[in-house]
Amino acid sequence: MRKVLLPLLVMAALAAACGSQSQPSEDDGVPATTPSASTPPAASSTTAEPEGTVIAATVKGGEVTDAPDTAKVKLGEPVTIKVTADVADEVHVHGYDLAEAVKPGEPLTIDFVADIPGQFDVELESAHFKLFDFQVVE
Amino acid sequence: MRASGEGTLILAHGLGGRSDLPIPLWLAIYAGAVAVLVSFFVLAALWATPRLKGAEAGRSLPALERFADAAAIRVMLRALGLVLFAGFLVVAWLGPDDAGTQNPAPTWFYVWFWVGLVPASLLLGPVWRLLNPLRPLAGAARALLRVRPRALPDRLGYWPAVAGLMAFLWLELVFDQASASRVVAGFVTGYAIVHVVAGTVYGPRWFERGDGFEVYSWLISRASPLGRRSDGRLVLRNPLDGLAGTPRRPGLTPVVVVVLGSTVFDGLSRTSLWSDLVSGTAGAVYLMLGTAGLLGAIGAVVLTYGFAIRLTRPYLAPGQDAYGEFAHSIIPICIGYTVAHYLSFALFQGQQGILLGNDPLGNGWDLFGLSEARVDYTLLSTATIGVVQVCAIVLGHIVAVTSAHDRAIGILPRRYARFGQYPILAVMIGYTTAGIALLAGA
Repeated sequence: MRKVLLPLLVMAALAAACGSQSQPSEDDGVPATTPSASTPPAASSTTAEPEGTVIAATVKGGEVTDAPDTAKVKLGEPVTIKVTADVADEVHVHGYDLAEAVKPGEPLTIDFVADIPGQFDVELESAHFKLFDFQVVE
Repeated sequence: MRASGEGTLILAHGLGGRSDLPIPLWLAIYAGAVAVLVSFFVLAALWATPRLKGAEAGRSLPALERFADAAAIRVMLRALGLVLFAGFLVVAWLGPDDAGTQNPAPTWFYVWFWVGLVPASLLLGPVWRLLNPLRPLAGAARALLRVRPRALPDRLGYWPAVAGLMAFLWLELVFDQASASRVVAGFVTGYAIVHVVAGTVYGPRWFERGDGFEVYSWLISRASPLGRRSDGRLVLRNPLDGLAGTPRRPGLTPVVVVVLGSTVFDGLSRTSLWSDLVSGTAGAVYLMLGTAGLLGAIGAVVLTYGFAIRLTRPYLAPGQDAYGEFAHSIIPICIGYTVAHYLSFALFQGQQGILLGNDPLGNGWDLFGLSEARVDYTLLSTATIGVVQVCAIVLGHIVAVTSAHDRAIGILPRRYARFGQYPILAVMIGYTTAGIALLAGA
């Protein structure tokens, strides 16, 4: 039995040490420790402004600027996605299946209510060009 | 509610837009620790002589067996398979020509059929063998053309099934038009034609080894509590015994490896690492990247598993087929991965199968009175989904490690009983931690 106890103790100690470093979130396992990129000041995830959360992205010369890597939104909140691009394409919000054409220079606004929990990509459809993704958490 | 800006609101591809939220880091670490802990425990403290009886095990169920073997039931199941197949083809070819947003056929194919095969086979055994509509079609062709079936060469092994599965997996995981109803219709029709022809030439034995979906269903069913004992009786048994009793047929390992590799790629393709990689590519380049990714993931499994087997082989007696001895123990890992990756897809997209089935041909029907209904995303909370995903992977790992342990101590000489298990154990820990990492890093 000694042969078993030692590896068991080592593993248990490791697990306890690692577990205590990352604190469990207060909610029931709702993810809160993903080290995502910082969201721009305008797109805070818990302010209840009349138009809801605004997530903005700009596409210039084939590159995405001014966009969060992963934006976080609360379930049931209204969301506004604002895309400004220098090319004509179609912005597609996966999962919610919203697609609208964007024209160069004209900012496109897509409003919807985040009623589906999960993680969703927002892309420029014709080139699978990912603008950003957002998480709808409960 | 879905207010638009300027342009019209066009609905793009219907399936697979939603990913699960990543599991919290602490859950991932605990799960990984449990997996490693259990592996060492199994290695050091579990039984020292083989306990599983494999194909001999199980308690017979005579009433259920009479029912399952009854000719009337068999005919009914065949007829059901044919009817469903016909209905599917009608909707796929004649229903709305879209990307799965109105036509229910893609949902029926990818969710109800492909994902549904897993719980169906886990609970009931290799069900697809009984429902497969291609079998009676081939039988009818054989009768009409008065063809006598040719013998299926043994060296073909399961390779035709591997090819069929690869074709399907490429379609599902790489092809960006995979959700389109006509694409699904075309694939299923093409697949059916190929296999009805092959079934005409080689007889019903073709489907056991050549039809990828039948082989997949059979593989999953090895872990089912229902199965056939070596004497042919239908029995209720420990899934570990079912796995241990998997016939050691040559060529089974490639099937297992392809299934595992493809689920790895499925998880990989949902990470931001992958979407950043393919961002900006289109057309042929996008498909080439996806194909490379799928083959790469399968290749990684081939390399790691092959390496583990090579390290184990010196401990075995000459003439023992190491690949054949352990192939069954990878199956639970495949099942765990599949449950983890497809659970929410099945729960949510699966509902569309009924909601869209309300008006399958897009004619304005209202067959079930569901025209106002929408997908209910509150069936399971994201927290519950996360926990189930992790438990599936860890449970799959535990079953896999136990299976491999029992087999190893049966075929390894006493003094190598511990060393000889390290390579396979290590590789399994690798697959499981990769699976957990994919859940956390999505």
